Amino acid sequence: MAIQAISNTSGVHIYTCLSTDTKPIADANSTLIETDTRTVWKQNTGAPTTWVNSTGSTFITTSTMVDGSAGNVLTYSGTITWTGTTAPSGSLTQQYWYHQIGKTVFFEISLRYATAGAACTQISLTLPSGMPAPLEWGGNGAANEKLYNGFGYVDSALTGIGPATRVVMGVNSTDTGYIISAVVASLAPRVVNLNIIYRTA
Amino acid sequence: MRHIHQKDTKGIDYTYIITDMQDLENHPAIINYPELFDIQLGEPPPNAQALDFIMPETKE
Repeated sequence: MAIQAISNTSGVHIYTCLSTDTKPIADANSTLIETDTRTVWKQNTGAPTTWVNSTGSTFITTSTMVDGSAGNVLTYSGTITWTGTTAPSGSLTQQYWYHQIGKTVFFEISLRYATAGAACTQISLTLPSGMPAPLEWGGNGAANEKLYNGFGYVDSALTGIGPATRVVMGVNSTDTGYIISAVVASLAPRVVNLNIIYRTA
Repeated sequence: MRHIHQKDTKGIDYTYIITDMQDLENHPAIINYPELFDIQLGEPPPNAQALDFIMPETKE
């Protein structure tokens, strides 16, 4: 197999495999990032900064990988607001994690309570401090306006598939921050898991 | 400032009701669910849960 170096940027070495009928070879420091008529390899000698397309020569974009929480869960300490008769309570586990690739941020939060609430229809959470600020769409961004949608569940049971849940990230009521809200049909909530993918500047 | 507290909550799940009412004794949560809510003096603790209270359709 012929391996040809096609780029050597700061801390990143990219190679293309010129043979299409030879299985890829990887050593402890190499990672396959794309397979096509050619096979493109990236040797991880530092933080990835650039990517190439399947022709092996054109840079698609320049992206920066940000660890975010470095794959670890963090303890959420923002403000949680429930709409309902009573909020869930007791032995609250509240965790989140996130990472960023270029201008795209992936965020997930999980809440678990010991005691279910009653007749709740909505939960709102402030975006954790330290998270990248969402990029507001042109024309959007005033108080209470929606920005990005998400997915997840608010459920009364720890098992099974959660009920239909609508998730959105928007601007808070004072236009001073961002909140993530989820709406469900009235239930006795005990667990919450919400995901948002959004753009940042 | 006084606030309405959900009785079974404390610590990180301490929950208070969002309201503009001054006479908290007349709040629907206190009137209809005194077993679930009480009135506390002072501000809720930092990062407390908030509850936008809504009455259920029928009292259980």
